[in-house]
Amino acid sequence: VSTEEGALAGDFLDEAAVARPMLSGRAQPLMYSSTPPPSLRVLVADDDDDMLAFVTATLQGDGCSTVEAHDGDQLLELLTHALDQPHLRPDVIVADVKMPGLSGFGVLEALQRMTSSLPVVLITVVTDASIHTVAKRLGAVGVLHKPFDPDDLLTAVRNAKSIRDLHAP
Amino acid sequence: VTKAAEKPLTPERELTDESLRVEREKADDAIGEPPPALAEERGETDEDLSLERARSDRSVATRDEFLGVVSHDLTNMLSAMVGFAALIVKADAQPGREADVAGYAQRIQRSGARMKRLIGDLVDVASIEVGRLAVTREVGDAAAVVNEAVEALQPQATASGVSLAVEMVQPLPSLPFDAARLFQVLFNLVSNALKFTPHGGKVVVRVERIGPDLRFSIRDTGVGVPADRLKVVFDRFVQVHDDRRGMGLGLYIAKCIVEGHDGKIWAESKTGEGSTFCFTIPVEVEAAA
Repeated sequence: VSTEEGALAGDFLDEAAVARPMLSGRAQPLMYSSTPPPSLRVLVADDDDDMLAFVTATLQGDGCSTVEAHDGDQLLELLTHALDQPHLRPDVIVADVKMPGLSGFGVLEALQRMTSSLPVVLITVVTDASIHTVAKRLGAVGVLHKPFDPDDLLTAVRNAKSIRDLHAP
Repeated sequence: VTKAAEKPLTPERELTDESLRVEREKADDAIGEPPPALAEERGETDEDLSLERARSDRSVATRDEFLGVVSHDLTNMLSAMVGFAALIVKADAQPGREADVAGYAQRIQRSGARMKRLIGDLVDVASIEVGRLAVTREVGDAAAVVNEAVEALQPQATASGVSLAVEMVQPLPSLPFDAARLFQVLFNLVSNALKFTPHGGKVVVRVERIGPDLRFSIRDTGVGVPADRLKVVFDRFVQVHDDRRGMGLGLYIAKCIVEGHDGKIWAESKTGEGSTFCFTIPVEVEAAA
């Protein structure tokens, strides 16, 4: 089930981008916990501690470095700090939709206001298909429905980065 | 009132309104022009009915919202369990990752324990609603239960950088209480205190005899409870803070257990100066009237 649901991440991912090789090899940030060398820097936000631990364990197991936030406000705070310092800038954001304070949608709106092109993958317990429409309108590059397989998360994160690189000016 | 809350009741209400209208028409036909007293009485009935409906709508809306939160949290716990199990399967195929596997397994245990607590709370609330929350009192030493609860929460305190201490004002009498339920009350109150006390803060559990009661106080140096919340924090579905860090069940269950012991529970606080949650259990059981 998780594989099928996870495949929903491809709903609005660029198919061509999937075939692109992984990108890596920039300056190593000191603040990111990781198994070196990290291939991607990922900022993760979820108010559920166990889910946050699962997402970060999955990403770190694949060599990504991660920074954790417990809600949308904290995510934006960390991001604002990181944007000033290129070596801390994340490659991808993974954010839960329903969080206290600023939600995942709120994060997307804030990024739009900041005219940030950072790719965002949303994760959610919501099964309503309309969430894809809203997520796409707000600029998310993928949506994963919980529970999802670790490989689906990794695929969504890699694709997110590849798509943004393809569309980068 | 949400539309979702109104929807299932609407056809039933239309039927009620229709039969009430028909009945009144029949009555009017029988007695001719209704006397002013009757018209007034009907007005009051209509007002009562609409008030009752508004109350019922609010209650359904709260329940819907609560069910939404419960299913959201259960799905999160389940997703973490399923996810970590998948990571174990992956790691198991790679030599040298035994430590990772053990860590993932611990995470599954943790999510399972959270799930068990939530389901236990739901079962308790259901028992309370039908008046069947069991409290079986046996004479014993409450201090041992306090120490047990504090010991169980010490890892959470350490992880949050909060000191957790016990103050026992001796001598403490033996008294009749339900040990498992008392543990539950203490666990709920102390874990709440830890949750809302920032790093570097302090939580103290004090036990002393005051008059005919044993008084338990859980004092913290946390964010405090706003004055308008002090009275309602023990109500069902009400959270101390609107940050969704809980279900609004723990304090309600604590209140019901304490009342099941003929005790009292209350909260004292000033925003920004921490709070103290207190409850009492009588040392002697009053003879049934």
